[in-house]
Amino acid sequence: MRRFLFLFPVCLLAGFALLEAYPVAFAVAKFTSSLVTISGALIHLFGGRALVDGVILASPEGFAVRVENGCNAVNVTILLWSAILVYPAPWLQKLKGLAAGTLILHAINLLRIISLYYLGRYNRSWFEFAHLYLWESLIVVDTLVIFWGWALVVRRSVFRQNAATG
Amino acid sequence: MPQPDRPQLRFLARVSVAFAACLALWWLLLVGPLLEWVRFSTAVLLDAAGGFRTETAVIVQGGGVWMIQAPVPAAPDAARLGAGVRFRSLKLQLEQWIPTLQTVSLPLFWALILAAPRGRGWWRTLLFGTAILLVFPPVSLLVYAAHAVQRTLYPHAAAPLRGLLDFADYVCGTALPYIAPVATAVALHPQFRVMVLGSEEPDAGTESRKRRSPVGTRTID
Repeated sequence: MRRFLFLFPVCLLAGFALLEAYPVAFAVAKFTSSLVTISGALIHLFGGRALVDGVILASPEGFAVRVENGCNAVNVTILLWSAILVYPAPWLQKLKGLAAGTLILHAINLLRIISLYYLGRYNRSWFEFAHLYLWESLIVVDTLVIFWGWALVVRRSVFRQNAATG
Repeated sequence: MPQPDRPQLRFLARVSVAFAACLALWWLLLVGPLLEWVRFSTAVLLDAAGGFRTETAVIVQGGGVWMIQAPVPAAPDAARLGAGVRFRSLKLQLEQWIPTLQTVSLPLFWALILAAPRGRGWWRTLLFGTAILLVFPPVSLLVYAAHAVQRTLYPHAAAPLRGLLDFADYVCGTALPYIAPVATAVALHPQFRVMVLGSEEPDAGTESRKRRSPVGTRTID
């Protein structure tokens, strides 16, 4: 566990530093606009109306949200990846955890973007509160719970494996 | 059929309830005193760095706009004009949500500790963690101010310095307020740490198997 506690912050900071590199920043910008496109498509799918323009999700009434770094869940993805990568587990389990955890995290983040879009249309004060203080904290807790769930699965599978091999 | 044991989901339910309560307490009662702490501690740090008076280094103006008097090195000929002039200042305005955001780590940390198993001395963890998290906001505001000074006065500063300030401002402004409470809770609360990361003590009965295994063999929920 000491190894984890030492390597995790190193890996986390390295991940954040990578975001400053131009190719990564470019890829993140593309990813962010795809998140907005998916959010707009989901809103349409459920009968709502939203206009998508790059990283901006706008309502026909004039309210618009601009999805930026911090709202695209890239920081919590780096948090989750750092934790999974430095946790002592077989590589196959790590890959499964990275894939499943990232999917769950971004599904939650789409819910965040869409809920903030609707909240902002009806109440700007609540939008600001939910955007700045509530959702970001909740998504970090969700990241912790996703990692914990994965680590538990890893520990139980190793326990079963060890019990089976005697 | 037995239900699968999912301690992490029970924890999520507990922490959500605790966070709602702590966030309400923070927003309705504590945000004012906490902002005063951020203002005062940032002013003391600026006082130490730039020789400004603590009373004027950070001022909260009408409408909740903050004004930070950031020290910048005096021009080379300033020494000729007035003896001992080392700094001039750049006045930066920032909206109140920026320092407020720096204090949201506290209700999140309290919720995590309240939702975690409460062994003996849990309140000491609560107090110690709170004290640690109170150190971050003034440091983060100084990083924000340094980044603003660099972008305003020194846009062509050396690339490593620009990169470092971009990175530090991103970490302090976007990641630290949310990640620091989780990291602090895991670091300070041994039972919570064991719950999330697994046991750190070797299990004597399974020691030989553990040597072959990449993870601990005890399952602790």
